[in-house]
Parts: sequence; structure tokens; C-alpha cells
Amino acid sequence: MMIQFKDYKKNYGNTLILEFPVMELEHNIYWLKGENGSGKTTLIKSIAGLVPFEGEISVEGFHIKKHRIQYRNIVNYAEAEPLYPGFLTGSDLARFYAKVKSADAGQVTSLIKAFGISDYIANKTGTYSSGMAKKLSLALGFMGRPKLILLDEPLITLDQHSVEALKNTIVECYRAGVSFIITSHQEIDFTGFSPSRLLVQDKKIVQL
Amino acid sequence: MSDVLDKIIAGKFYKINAGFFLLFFILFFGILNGKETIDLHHAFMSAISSSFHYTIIAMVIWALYNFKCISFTIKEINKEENSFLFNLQALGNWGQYYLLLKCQAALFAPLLLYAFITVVVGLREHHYLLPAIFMIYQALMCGIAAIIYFNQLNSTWKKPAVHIPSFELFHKKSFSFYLLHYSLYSRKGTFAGIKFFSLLLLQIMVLANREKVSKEAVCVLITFLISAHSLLPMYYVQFMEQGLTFSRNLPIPVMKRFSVYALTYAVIFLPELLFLFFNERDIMPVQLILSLYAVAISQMALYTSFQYIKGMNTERYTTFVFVIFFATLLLLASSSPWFVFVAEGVVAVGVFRLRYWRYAVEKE
Repeated sequence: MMIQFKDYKKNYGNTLILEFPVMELEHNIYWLKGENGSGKTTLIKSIAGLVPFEGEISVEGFHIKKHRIQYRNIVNYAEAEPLYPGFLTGSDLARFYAKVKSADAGQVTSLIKAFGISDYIANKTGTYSSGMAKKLSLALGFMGRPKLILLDEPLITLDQHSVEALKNTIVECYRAGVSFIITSHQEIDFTGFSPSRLLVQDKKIVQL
Repeated sequence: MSDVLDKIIAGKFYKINAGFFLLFFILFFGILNGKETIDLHHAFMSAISSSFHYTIIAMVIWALYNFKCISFTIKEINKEENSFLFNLQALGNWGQYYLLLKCQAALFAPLLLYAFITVVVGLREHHYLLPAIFMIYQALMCGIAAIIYFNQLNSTWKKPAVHIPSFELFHKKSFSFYLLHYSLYSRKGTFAGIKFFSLLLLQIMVLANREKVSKEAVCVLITFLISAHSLLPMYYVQFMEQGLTFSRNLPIPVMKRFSVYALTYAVIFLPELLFLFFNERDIMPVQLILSLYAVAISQMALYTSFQYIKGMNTERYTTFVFVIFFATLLLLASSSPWFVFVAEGVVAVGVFRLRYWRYAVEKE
């Protein structure tokens, strides 16, 4: 089983956001849908290890709380509205990610090329537009040898060329054994197959 | 509009700096008894009104405080949630100056009050020139600050009058030094102000107590200087948790994350270490200087770990800083600084390891 949830529960203060006892997901591309405020980003952030929660999440047998390093080596995340320290350049971040995620130089170069960020990657992120930061964030999200990539609203602020590049990269990685959970309010269509749909509803996840 | 400015700038300034003011208040008004306190301040005021050197020292201290007010206000004006303040542009130049001057007077009030009493003392003692200069200086401090705020508020259509350059330590930035880069890029004003203040106090201590400096006096001063740096861990944790949110998804061991903070503090306190080493080596053994440097690092690490405690906010944090200040003083008085270093370091590591993965950003 690719991803397993056990007794997952997330509150913000006294407000319950999500709660489900058990859920298991196989290797696939999942399109996580739901209304605004339903808890999509919270779920994605929980799986990414960005927010604490009750219960257990494991990916490929690695538990988020017990195997913190191994888990984070195989779960990558690209946020919806990336914000980076203005004093760092895209190259600084790419080097940093490549080091901690053990990505080789060839992969870094090909991702930079695929997302069309080579022209400005040497500039400080403080000078980036939201679209430029988004493309950088997506390129970083693919680095290393992940088994699961979490993409929070990956299509927003992207130009058409970058959307195509993103879809091609997703399909390529999927065929190489990487699973995806993608939140998006826009339709996600891949040539040749459709992603599995998950719906966040009534504080639970429903597989459609 | 004045009420709004008071709430989001002056009110917040005093709330955030409550610990700082309390510390100063106790140091200057709470240690000696009533008559001795009055005599001490009367002596200060007489010295400021009659000696050019003391007037200059007072002016430097006033300028440092003003710098603190200005950097705070600029940060607040530029916050996203305060972007509505740019609507003040509709008031016209004089309307804006008036409001901003009022706001600055509220921020500067403690020193304005002290300056006013100083001038009265000076005049009663028939000193006229220096009190007049000191009074004009107060007006200048407030006026310059109001002009800076005005320029900031009107930066949407005006070019900035002054540009503070950013520093770049290394071209390639390693994760271990992110906090140092952050200090020199995004917090350069605060950082420079704290370091200047810290080194100035050390210099004053050396000048004033050249012959009779004691280990106890140095320990009190160093503990005070460490407390003066307590704003930095707050900014650093904010930066790591809100500016580098993605880093929690990266496979970095918890102790490596802790070491980034510790390494930063080790570098930050190097100027003080070198200062003591070159100026106090005759009076203080090298081992004592090194142990006080180690205490500074472990205490800052402790401040950092406390930031990860659930429900921590500015008020609780300042209380912690205050408690740690006195606890460290007591420990330094009764045991070796190496013991304090180890004790505070162990607590810092323990709290950090326990709390790091359970931490979630909370809105104050």
C-alpha cells in the first residue's frame, strides 16, 4: 500500500477540520477536490509534515513520526503560493534542495530546463513574480527520488507553456513509479488517462 | 486615524517591548531605594546638562532608542495587513506629518519625559546652552522620524530618500548560515542596532570601570547584553517557520536544525568575545571570557527553544526572558559559567527536541 492513514485527525484550536479512521491509497495520480476551506491544503500539509496532527500517516511503510528523515526523503511538496526569503537566489534554493534530497546535477539541470527557469534562477527570489516563484517551487518539488509528490494548486499563476511542461513531468514521473496528490480548482487532464478523484467532504475524504 | 495609528504602532510597540521597558525600569529605578534613586538620576541629569561629554552619551542613547522606534514603525507600515495605511496619502502632507509626529511622540514618550526633566534640572542649576541643545535634539529626533515615516508611507509614488545597503556574506549561501544572511538582509536595522548597543555598553563599562571592574559586574552586564539580543530568536523562529515553511518537508535531522540556530548565535556573539578578549584580558582570565561566550550561545538557544512551546506569544516570551535573566544572574553568582552553559544548553536541546515536530504556527 502506497499511502496509509490511521486515526487521522486535525484540529485548529477547537475546530475540527478533518477526521477519518483509516484510508489507504495505491500508486496513482490523485486529484484532491473540495470547496474552499474544506481542508485540502491542511491534508496536503499534514502529509508533507508541515503541520502537526493526531494519528499516523505512512508512505511506502515509512511513518511520518517514526521515520522522519526517510519519510521526508520520499515525500516532496510544492506549495500553492510559494514564498522564499528575498535574499536567496533560485540557484541557492536549487543547491539546497539538491543536497538535502540527494538529487544529482543532471536532474537539477533538466528540471530547471523543463520549467523554463534558467533565465532567472541566478537572481534573488525577491525579484520574482508569483508565476516565476511558482515555477521554481514546482521544479524544487520534483527534486531527489520521491515516491509521492504533493502539489497544492499547481496550475495557478502558470502560463500555458509551463502547464504543459508540468503535465509532461507529472506523467513522466508517474510512469517511473511516483504517485501524486494534486489539489486544483481547475480541471486536470492528462493525455491518455484521467487521475483518480478524491473529495474532501464533511471533514472526511471520499474516493470517487 | 490617530486612534488607529496608536493601536497598530504605539500600542503594539509597548506591548511587544514590555519586557525591555520592565528590565530598564528595574535597572534604573528598582535596585536602589527611593532617595538613592532620585539622587542617582539627579546626578545623571546634572551631568547631561553641564558636561558636553555626558550630553553626547545621552544623545547616542536617545538616537539608539529612536532607531528602535523607527525600525519598528517602518516594519509595521510595510506589513501586508497594514497596507490600508497608505490611504493616509489622501490627507495631504501636513495632515500626515501631524499624525506621524503624534505617533512618534507616543513612541518616544519615556525618553521625552526624561529629557524634559533633565532640561528643567539643568535650567534650575543655571545651565542654559546644553539643555537648549538637548531640547532641540528631542525635536529633531521626533521630526526626523516623522519625515522617515512620511517617506515610507508615500513610497508608493516617491523614490526612497535613503537606501540602506544589504550585505552579502557569501555568494553561495549554505543552509547553516541562512539566519545570518537573514539578519544582514531582512533585519539589518535591528541587527545593527542591537550590536551597536551591545558594543557601546561594553565600551562604556571599560571606560567607566577601567581600574575596578569585577567578575560580578561583567557577569551582570553580559547577562543584560544577552537579554538585549532576545529579539533575534523571535525573528529567527518566525523566519524559519514562516519564511522557510517548506523546510519542514525536507529530510533534515532535528539536531541539524537546532545547530543552525546555535551556530548563528556563536557567530553573532563573536564581536563581544573579541571585545572582551582584547580589552579585559588583563582583568578576566581567558577561560572566564570563553565561558561567558558559551553562556551567551546556550541562553540564546534556550530563548529559541522556548519559541516552540505551545501557546508562546510575545508577552509570555518576554516574561521568560525576564525570568531567565534573573535565574542566570543567580546561577552565575553561585556557580561556574560552564555549569550555566551546560544547564541552559541541556534544557534548550531537550525542549527543542521535544517540541520541534509538535510545533504549529499560531497567530497572536
